[in-house]
Amino acid sequence: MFFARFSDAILGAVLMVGTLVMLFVIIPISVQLPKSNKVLALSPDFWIKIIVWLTLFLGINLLFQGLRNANKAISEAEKAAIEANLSHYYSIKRSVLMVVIAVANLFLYYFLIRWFGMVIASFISVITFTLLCGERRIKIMVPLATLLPVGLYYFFLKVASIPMPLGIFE
Amino acid sequence: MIDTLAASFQMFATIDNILVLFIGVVIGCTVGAIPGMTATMGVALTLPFTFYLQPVTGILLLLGVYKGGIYGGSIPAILIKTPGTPAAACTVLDGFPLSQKGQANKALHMALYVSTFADFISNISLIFFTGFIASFALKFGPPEFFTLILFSLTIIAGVAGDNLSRGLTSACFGLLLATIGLDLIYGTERMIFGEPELMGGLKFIPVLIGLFAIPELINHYTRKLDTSKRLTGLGQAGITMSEWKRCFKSVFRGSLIGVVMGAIPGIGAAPAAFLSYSEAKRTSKVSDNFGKGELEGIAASESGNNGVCGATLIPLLSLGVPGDVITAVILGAFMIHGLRPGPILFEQNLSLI
Repeated sequence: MFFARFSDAILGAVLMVGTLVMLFVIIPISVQLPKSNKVLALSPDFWIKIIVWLTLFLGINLLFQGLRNANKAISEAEKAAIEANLSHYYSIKRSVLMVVIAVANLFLYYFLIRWFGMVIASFISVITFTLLCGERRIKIMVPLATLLPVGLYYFFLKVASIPMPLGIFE
Repeated sequence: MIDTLAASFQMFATIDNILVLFIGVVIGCTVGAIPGMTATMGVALTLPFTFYLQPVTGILLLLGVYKGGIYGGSIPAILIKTPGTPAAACTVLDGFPLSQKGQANKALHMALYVSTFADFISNISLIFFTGFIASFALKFGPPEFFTLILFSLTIIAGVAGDNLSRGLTSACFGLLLATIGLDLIYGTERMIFGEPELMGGLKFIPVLIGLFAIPELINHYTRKLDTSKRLTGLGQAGITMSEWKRCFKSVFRGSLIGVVMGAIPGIGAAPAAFLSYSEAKRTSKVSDNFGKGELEGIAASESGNNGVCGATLIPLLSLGVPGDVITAVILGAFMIHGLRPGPILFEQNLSLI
């Protein structure tokens, strides 16, 4: 209920923190500037800063807008509708944990595909994702995780002649 | 004029050509329906197969893949909320909600009919208005392009829904992603963090698939499985005549938007689809239903993106300038067969054009 009511405010706060980090940490570190630049608008960080400042203002707007809306009194019917909608979702703790594991698995896949190539990385990744989805039947998981990557690998590499990352098997 | 059209028809109407065109459309639909494989990739993969074909047959094969691919992108957009091609990104907005209502069959039928109609309009425009539209597009300079891009950003207001701040934030996020890569003026690095693959910027297709697929992933892991509901099937209902009539205005307007946008080099099918959708939403009597599974929304976006297909060939054939990446590949096919599209080919081999 708390997150449903304050979603705009939370998003606004996250945006504010994110844009400030962008402005004072990420942009100075990652945008290379030329030694001399006479025209401000041609500077490589000019438009990035404009976009980030704009996002910061939008974040502030969302924060205040969200707080204002959250403090408005809501009727019992509206409260019931929000709760009914929330009943379709898992608890916030479980949801965040699942999403973090899923995103971590995507990053793992990214690194595994470099080292072990597409087939093995996809096999591990598909197994992990199906486990996360709640699937526990080995006879479904293993054939799916084997046939799908092998089929795609064969199609891309042998039929379409598109080079695929093979990692240590190259 | 009639003689040229008759000669062209004679050149086209052979069993081989029609068969190859059919195969091309099937390949295109299949490639377009696989998220991650674009129509461009399909045309590029088919290009080697045209080496051993006659010029007309080979080009028909590529055109079949191109047009089939643009339509095919709408299939996963409607069924699994993941556009098969960038052009179908807009179709997701109404296609998937309609699919969830158990009316996927209706949505797929609408996408098919509208794609065919818009492509027909585009081809007619290609035949009759090539010279006029090409000369109009040729006059576009930097101020006109700037105005056009700025105008395209105003579409955000139309598709942002109830919360404009969130819509604008998404737009800023998109613009921020577009700044990654080498600076166009000085060639210095911008937010690439030592990753050489990012020097050319983020690739459009992975970004697009990521932006549509990751929210699905998050939604899947946060939402409980509703076992009380049956899985929604395709549904039996097709398009009724009254529905077709209701959407026709948007379809026709979307086709024309596609034709104009397609004739301008570098714009592409995705902006045409979004512009057509935005216009349909602005003028529709049921604009509140847009984004919630409105058939007219699918009609507008699909007519917009397919209206581009024939028109992108206008600058290619009349000026030798490819309208987008796909027509650049098709230009390659022309050159493989010793043909150089442009004014000279127009004069020397009008029936082939």
